[in-house]
Amino acid sequence: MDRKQGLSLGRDDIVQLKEAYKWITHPLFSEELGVPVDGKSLFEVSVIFAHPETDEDCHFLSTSCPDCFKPAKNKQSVFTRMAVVKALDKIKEEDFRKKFPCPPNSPKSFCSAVEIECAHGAVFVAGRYNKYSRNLPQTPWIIDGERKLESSVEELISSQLLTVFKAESFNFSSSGREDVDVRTLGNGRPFAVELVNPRRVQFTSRDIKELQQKINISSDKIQVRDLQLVTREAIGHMKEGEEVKTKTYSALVWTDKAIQKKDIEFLDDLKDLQINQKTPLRVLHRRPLAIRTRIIHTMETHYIDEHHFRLHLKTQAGTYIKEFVHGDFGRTKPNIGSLMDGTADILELDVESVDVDWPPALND
Amino acid sequence: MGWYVEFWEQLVVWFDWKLRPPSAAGGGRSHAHEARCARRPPLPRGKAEVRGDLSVGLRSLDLAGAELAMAAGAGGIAPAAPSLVDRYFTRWYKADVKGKPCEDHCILQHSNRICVITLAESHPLLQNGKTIKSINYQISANCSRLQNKVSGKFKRGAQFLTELAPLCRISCSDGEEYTVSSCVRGRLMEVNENILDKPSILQEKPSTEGYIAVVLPKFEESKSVTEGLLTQKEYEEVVVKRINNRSETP
Repeated sequence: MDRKQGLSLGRDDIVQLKEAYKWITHPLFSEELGVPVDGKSLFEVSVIFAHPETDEDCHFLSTSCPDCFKPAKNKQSVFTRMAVVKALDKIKEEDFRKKFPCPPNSPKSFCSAVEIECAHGAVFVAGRYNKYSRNLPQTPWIIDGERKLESSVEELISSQLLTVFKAESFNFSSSGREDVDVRTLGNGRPFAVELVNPRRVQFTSRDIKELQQKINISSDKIQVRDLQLVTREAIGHMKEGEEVKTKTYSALVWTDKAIQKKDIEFLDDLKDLQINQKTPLRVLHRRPLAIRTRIIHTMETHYIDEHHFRLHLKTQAGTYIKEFVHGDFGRTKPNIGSLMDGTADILELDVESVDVDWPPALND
Repeated sequence: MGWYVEFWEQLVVWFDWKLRPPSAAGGGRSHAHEARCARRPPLPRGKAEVRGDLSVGLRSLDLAGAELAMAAGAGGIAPAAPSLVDRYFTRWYKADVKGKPCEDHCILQHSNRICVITLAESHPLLQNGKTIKSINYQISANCSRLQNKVSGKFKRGAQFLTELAPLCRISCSDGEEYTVSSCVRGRLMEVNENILDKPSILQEKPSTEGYIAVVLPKFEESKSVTEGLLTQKEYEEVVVKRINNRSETP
């Protein structure tokens, strides 16, 4: 490189072969097929070409740099991309000019198309779901190949989408999740379904509304709302919700000691109560042992009788509510039992709201 | 010399742990992680999470309404619904641990295989008139259960426990000393530090807040770990027998 004389070519001065290829071929495709060409389209047609003549182009390098091309067990051909790049680095310019003509010779044969594959990039459908069953897991519950509980939230929603979008498979994710025996009320929990290689992607908003109705009619265990097509960035929004946003719950609490209304009033006054939760025993087999500090922002009690009251709470994301009520062997401190200087247990839990304002609400 | 014995003890425990073959139908896989992953069924679509716990966490699912009516009608008597321990755990017992009469232990086994070591109702420490002076987790010169450190999902670094491993020594005001043993093989997750501050919790709530330790058995040994233990029914029979024997001898 002769930088001093300012005559040298930088990397950007040379047009990349694949760019030149696109400039030439795209208009040809466009004319032949009668469609506009989009280099960033989700719909991809991959064509694999074979041309033995071109394959042999680089074989001369093995004579000049034999040590770059050592045969190995796993390699089909000795001429891997890495080996060729290494040899090109090594070879002297004069040797290269001698062995390889510039410009290259015209090929003597045509290349052949070996394989043509069409695929569509994944599309994303988001919404919010309500769960009305206390017997429905989020994901299929299978142990030793045996299904323990019928169906799941993800299957009830995604199977319908899979059919309509004619996709190969799906990936369901949501902004957090609830236990089998917990209902999700209020506006529901945000979710997103990635549909892999869908064969149908054109949907009007009316189509989507109809799809939403179809899902809602198919099951009384779950209901969905705000169903809409979204971009890949969607997943980021949702996961942010899982870690950062607050949730509100309603729990039915049982106490061993007989209580009066005045005995639970103090809970209403506790604001931003800090609790420390060791990893609950019920998940300790699959989670690391740690202590999590969480905030119970507000609580509201409704007296029922001497041994029951309803507790509404607004908490930081990631709080184990059941353990906050029953104390998990004293491993969540403080807990409702310890705050009331007795023993408490949880009879029922409902998620009242998931405070994430995504996906955008639609006027149904 | 003490440290030497201690060292050999730990080495023996370690070898026993590593070399004992898995008894369950895991096909002889020694690595718990592989066993877990290999047991997952092929995923037809989407993601399927294989869970080990069949627990249903709430006290009574659809009976809540009936319970409330019962409670309201009966003037607020506490419902006879399953407690936290009843819901999630199976009670196993070991009587006369280490040959000491009546020093019975109760192992609470969760449906996810985790074991909580507690004292059984018949243990001398839980009888009237006993006052606990101190609880010591330093079981030997080189080993304190309080130093147990566990990291990661696979709980590396945990102290290995065999059935006879001591967890703590409890001293009473009347001079008696009791040793609590693990009764199950596994990794020690934690010991209860709350009872150090307030030993009376152990006597007030032995099955919950007063637990001694949490142990995680090997995945392959999930079922076999309780093989040497008594069921609730068997334990009750042992206790009845004791009472009868006592009443027979003058």
